[in-house]
Amino acid sequence: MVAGKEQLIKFQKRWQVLLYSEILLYTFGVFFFTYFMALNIAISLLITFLFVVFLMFFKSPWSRDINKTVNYIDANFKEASFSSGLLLVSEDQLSSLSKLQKHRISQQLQSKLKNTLPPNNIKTAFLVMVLLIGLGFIGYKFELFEGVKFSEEKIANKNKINFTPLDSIYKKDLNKPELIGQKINITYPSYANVPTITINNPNIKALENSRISWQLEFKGEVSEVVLELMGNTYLLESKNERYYTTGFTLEASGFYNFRFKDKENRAYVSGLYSLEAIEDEAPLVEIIGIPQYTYFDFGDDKQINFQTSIKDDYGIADAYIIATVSKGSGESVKFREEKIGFDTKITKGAKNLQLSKKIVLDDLKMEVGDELYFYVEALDKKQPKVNIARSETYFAVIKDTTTTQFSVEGTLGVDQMPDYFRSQRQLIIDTEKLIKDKPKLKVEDFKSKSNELGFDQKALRLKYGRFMGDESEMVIAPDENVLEESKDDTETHDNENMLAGYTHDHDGSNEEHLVPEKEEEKNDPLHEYLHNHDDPEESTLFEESLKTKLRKALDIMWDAELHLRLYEPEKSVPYQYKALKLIQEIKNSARIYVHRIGFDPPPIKEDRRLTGDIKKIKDFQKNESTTFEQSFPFIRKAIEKLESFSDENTVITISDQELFNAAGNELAARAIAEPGKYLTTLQKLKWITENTEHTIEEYRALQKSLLAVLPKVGKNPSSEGIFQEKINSLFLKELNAYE
Amino acid sequence: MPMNNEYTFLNLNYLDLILGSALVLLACFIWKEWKDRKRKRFLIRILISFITILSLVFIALKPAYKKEITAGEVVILTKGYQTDILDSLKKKKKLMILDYESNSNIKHNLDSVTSAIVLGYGVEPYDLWQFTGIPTTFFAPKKTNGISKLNYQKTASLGSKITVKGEYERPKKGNHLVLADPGGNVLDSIVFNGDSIQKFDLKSELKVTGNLVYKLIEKDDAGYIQTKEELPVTISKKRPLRILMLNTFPTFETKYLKNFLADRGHELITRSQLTKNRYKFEYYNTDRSPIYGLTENVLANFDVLIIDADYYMSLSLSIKKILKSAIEFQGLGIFIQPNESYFSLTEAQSFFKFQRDNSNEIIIDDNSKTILQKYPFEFESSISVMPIYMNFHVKIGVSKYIGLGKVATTNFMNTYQLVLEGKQDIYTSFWTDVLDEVSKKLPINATWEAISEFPKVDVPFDFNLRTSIQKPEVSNQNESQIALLQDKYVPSKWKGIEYPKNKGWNELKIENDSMANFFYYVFDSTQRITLNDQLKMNTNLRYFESQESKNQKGISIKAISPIWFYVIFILGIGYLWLEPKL
Repeated sequence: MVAGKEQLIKFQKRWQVLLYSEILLYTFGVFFFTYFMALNIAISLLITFLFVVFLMFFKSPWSRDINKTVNYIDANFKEASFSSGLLLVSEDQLSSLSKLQKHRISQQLQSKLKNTLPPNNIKTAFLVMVLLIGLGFIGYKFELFEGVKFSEEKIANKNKINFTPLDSIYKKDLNKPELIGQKINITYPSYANVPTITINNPNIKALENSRISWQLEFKGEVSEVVLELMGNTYLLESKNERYYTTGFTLEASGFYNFRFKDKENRAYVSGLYSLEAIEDEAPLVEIIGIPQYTYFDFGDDKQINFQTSIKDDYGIADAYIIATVSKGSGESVKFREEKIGFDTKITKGAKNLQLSKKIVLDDLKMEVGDELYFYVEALDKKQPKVNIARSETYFAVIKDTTTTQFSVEGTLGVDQMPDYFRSQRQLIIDTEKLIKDKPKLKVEDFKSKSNELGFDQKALRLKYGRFMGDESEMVIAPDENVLEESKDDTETHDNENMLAGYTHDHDGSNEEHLVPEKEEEKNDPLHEYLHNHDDPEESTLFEESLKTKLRKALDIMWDAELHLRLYEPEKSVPYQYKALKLIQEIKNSARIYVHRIGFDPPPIKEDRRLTGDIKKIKDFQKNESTTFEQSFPFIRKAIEKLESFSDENTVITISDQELFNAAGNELAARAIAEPGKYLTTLQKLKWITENTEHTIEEYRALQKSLLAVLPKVGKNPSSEGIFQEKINSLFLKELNAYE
Repeated sequence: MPMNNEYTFLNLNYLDLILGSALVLLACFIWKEWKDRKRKRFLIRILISFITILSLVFIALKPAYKKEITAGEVVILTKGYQTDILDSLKKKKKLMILDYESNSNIKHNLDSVTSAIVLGYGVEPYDLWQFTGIPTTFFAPKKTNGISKLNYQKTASLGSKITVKGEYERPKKGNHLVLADPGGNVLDSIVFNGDSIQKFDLKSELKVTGNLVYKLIEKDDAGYIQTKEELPVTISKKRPLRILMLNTFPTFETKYLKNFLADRGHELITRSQLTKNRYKFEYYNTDRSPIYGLTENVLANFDVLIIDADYYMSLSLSIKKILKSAIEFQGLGIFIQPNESYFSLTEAQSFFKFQRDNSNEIIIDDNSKTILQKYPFEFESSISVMPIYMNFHVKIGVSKYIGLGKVATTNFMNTYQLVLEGKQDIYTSFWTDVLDEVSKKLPINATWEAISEFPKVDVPFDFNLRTSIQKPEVSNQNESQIALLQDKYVPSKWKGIEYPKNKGWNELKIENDSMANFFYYVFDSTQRITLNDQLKMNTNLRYFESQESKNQKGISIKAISPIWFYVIFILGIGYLWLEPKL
C-alpha cells in the first residue's frame, strides 16, 4: 500500500515545514526588533542572518528524515503499535503477518496522521515574534534605544542640514518641505591627485581651488533654493523638481547657508556652515648628511655627498640644486651660478622624495680659495602658481693656506706687516728641522743653530714689539759672533740674509752712530701712524684686548727665545706654537674694523650768525585727525541689547535684527581666519537675526560668546557731568576764603 | 489738660467745635418742639433729644478710659532668631510669643504689653514705626556665613575697571568666588582658604556700555554653583575732552602725552614755542585755529589746560587773572607740568605747598616694580588739597578746587619713560586718572541717589533727587507719577519713594528731561541675603538704641467702643421720629 508510506512522507514534510516556519517567525521578530533598535537595514539584516544560521543549526529541520518520523510516530501513537516502520517497506519484503499489521496500521494511522500536527513550537514562535515586534516598536516610539543607535546613523543626523521656517508658527507644520538627502562633492584640483570625495558634513574643509558642489534632495515643493555665501547668493539649479545642485570653486574661507521657499512662499533657512579653504603648503626641503660648512684642503678629495629629503602635501613637481661658486676676494670677487640636477631621478607627483647628489668641486672648476654656496629648490604642483621652497644654504670651501700668513691689515688702510723677516711659522719649521737633525749635527753646530734661531725669534719679537710701541733703541742687540756664524749658515740663508741686511747695518753702526740710528727711526714709514710714546703701554694702535694679546705673544716669544738660547729647541717649540696661535688670533681680530664716520654739519654762514633775524621763520602748523573707534561697535551694542532681553516674550524688532546682522558681519570678518572657532556664535547670531522666537538661555549663551570675542578697551580720560548744587559752591567758596 | 483720673477724650482738641455744634443742634430741637411746650411730652422729647445729641457728641469726642496693663512682655521672633535666648527667656517669665511677618500689623499686640523683645535680625525697616513708644530690647544674632560686605562702583565708564571688594564670612574651604560677565565668562576669581573672614578683591575691565548685570558666583570645588549674586552696573561712554597744551619748548613729555590723547580721540591743540613769537601748533581731531592769547572766550572752549611751569610763570598778571576766572566760574581744569623751579614758588604762585623729601625715585606699581623718576618734593597736605590716586591706591599728584574748576600738578618726572619701557597700561592709568580728576565737569540738571541699598519688588525704594528744576515731576517706567518731598533746608534736594513692580532694571525719569533718567536694579529674594540681614540688623539696632524708652507705667488708654453711642443715637432719633406718628 502506497497510501501509508505517503502518509508518513506527508507527515514528515509537514513537520519540516512547521520547523521552517517557526524559524521564519523568529527571524521576523528578530529582524524587526533589531531594525527598530538600530534603524539601519544593513545592521539588522546582518544580525538576523547570524541568528537564522544559529537557529537553523539548532532546529535543523532537514534532520527530520523519514526514520525520525517513524520513530516519532512509533513513540507517540499507540495506533502505530511500534510498526509504522513497516509502511516504508515494500510489500514483497514482508511476511504475511507483517503485511497484515502494515495494512492495519496504515488504516488506523491514515486518519490519525491527517488530524495530528507534528511536534512544533509554532505558537511560541508566533508569540515571540509578536512580542519582539511590539517591544521594538514601543522602544522606537519612546526612544528607548537612543543610546544603542549606531554612530554612523548619529553622524548622519548631526550632519543633516537643518532647515527652519522663518516664521516659527510653521515649525510644527507636518506638510513643510523636508530635506531628504544631501550630497557634497569635493573635486580637488587635478594636480592634487585626489579623487573626488562625497561627504555629508556641511562644514567643509578642502584644498584651495577645489570645486565644491552641493546636491540637495527635497520632499515637497520648493522654489528659489539659494546658497548664501558671505553676501553672495548662488541659485541652485533644479533637476526633476527634486534635486537641487550648485557648485563653485573654493577660493577663500567663509560661511554659507541655504534658503528656500515652499509653495506657500514661506521662507526657510538653514544653519550656518563653515567653508574652510586649506592652503596648499610649500614643500619642505631638508639637506641631510653634511654639515652646513665643509672645508677642504687643497690635497683632499673635494667631493660633497648629501641626501635631500623633500616633502609636500600634494606632490612635488621638480627639485634642483642652485650652486654658486665665488672666486677671488674683496672687490674682485666673482660669482658664477649653476643649476644642478640630482643624481636620483625625480618622480613627479611624489609626496615624499629622498634625493642624493654628489658634487665634485673640481668639476665646478673650483680652485684654492674658492667657495661654493648651494641650496636645494623644490617646486610643488600647485596651480596656477606653484609653491617654491628652498633649503638652507650650505657652504663648501677649499681652504687657501697661503692666506693664513700673518698680516696686520685693514685697520689703518696701510699694510703694517713688514714682510722682510722670518715668520713664526718659518721659525717653527726651522726649529723642528733642527731637532730632527740634532743627532747628525756637531754639538757646536747644533748650539750655534739654536742660538741663531733664538736670534731670529728675538728679531721677530722686537718687530712685533714695535707695534706695541716698545722702545726701538733696544732692538736686536748686536751679537758679532752670531752674526758671523749666521753668515756661514746656509740653511736659513735667504731669510737670514734679508733679516741681517735689515738689522745688521744699523746694528753695526749702533754703538758708534747713535744719531743716524735715531734718524732712521724717524724715517720709519710707520712712525706717523703709531703713537710712539715712550711708555709702551700708552700705545693706542690696538684696542685693549688686542694689545694684551700681543703683549702675551711677545712674552711667549721671550720664553721661546730663552729656550733656543739655552740650546733646548724641544722646549722652545711649544712656546713657538703658542705664539703662532696668538698671532693668528690677533691677525683675525685686527681684520674686523669699522671706520667711524662723524656728523659733518653744513657750514654756518657767518654773516647771518647771531643776527636774531627770524623773519623767514614761520609758525609751524600741523593738523591731524585720528578716528578713535571702538572695535566691534555692533557687537558691543548687540551685547547691550541682549542684556535687555529679559524674558522669552521679548520681541525682536527689525532694527534689532539689523543690529544682530551687523554684529554678525563684524564677527564673520574676524572668523574667516578661524572659521571653526566662531562658527557656533555666528550660527546663533544668524538664528537670532532670522528667527524671532528664542529662550532666555539662548540669549545668554550668545551674549557669553560675544563677550568672549571682545578685546579690551583700555582706560580713556573723560569728564563726567556734575550737578552743581548751590550749597556745594558756597562751601567751596568758603573753603577757599579760609585757606 | 482737663483730664480726670479715670476717663478722657481722645478728640479733646475739637471740644469747642463739637460742643458748639451740639448746642446749636440742641437749640434746633428745642425750637422745633417749642409749640408743644405746654404738653407733658415736651419735656420727655427734650430729654430724649439731649441724650441723642450727647451720644453724637461722644461719638465725635471718643471717650476713653485708662486701663492697667496686665500682659507682660512680648517676644517677636524674626528671621534667624536665637533659640537659646528664647529658651532662657521662656524659663524666666511668661511671655507672649509672636512670629514676625514682614508688612504685617503687630501694633495691636504691642499696645497691650509693657515691653517687647525682638530676636533675630529684626523687623523690616518699614515696620519699625509700630514700635514707637514701646520699650524694646533687640538681641542681634551672631553673624552668619555669606557675603557680609560688598562694594563696587555701580556706575562706571567704558574701559574702566569693575572692582568688587568685600568680605565673606565663614567661607567653605576650597570653594571659589568668581566674578563673571553678564554672559557668564569668568573674569576673575579667588579660592577660599578657610579663614573665618575671607576678603576678596576681584577686578575686570568693562568692555560694553549699557545696563549690565555682572555676577559674583560662588562655586564649590566640583564647579557647581552655590550662590549667585547679581552686580548691576550702569556703564556709560563718556565724551572726549577738549584739551589745550601750552609749552615753552617742545618736550618729550608733551609729545607722548599728545600722542596718547590724540589716539584716544580727544580734541587737542598744542602750542609750543619755537623761538620768539614763533610757535608750533598742532591740532588733533579739531579744526585749525591758532591760539595766541589766552582770553576768556578761548578758554571757555576747553575742558583742560595743560601748561608747563615756565609758561605758567611767564604769564602776565592780567592773563593769570583771566585764567583764574575761567577756572573759578567756567570750571576749567588746569594741569601744571612742573619743573625744578616750580617747587620753589610760593603757594600763591604755585597753588600748592611743597616739602623737600630728597627722594628722586618712586615705585608706582608694587607688582612689576615700576620705578619712575620724581622731583625731590612732596606735597604738603591741607584741607583743600586733594591727592590724585592712580588705580585708587598710588598717589600720583594733587588737585585743588578753585571755584568750580580745579588746579592739579604732579611731582612725577618723565612719565613717558613708561611708554618707552612698554608699560603703556600704567601710563594710560596715570594720565586717565589725572585728567579725569582735573577735567571740566559739565553741569547737569539732576543727580539721583538710591537710599535703599537693595531694592526689592513691592518694598519701598527710597531715593534722593537733586535737581535745579524748580518743580520736578518724577515718574516711573509705567508713567505713574511719584510724589516728591522737598528738603526743608536744601531746596534742590527732593525725596521720593517708589514701589518697584518688576525684578531687574527699573527706571525713574523726570518729565521734560530725557537725559536725566535713573536706572536702578531690583533684586529678587535670593539676592544679598546676608547683606540684607545685616542691614536690617543695623537699622534695628540703631532704631531701638535711639528710641527713648518711655517709662511705660503699665497703663494704656483704651477707647470706649462707639457702638454704644450709635445704639443710643439710633434709639433716640428713632423715638423722636416715631413718637408723633403713633
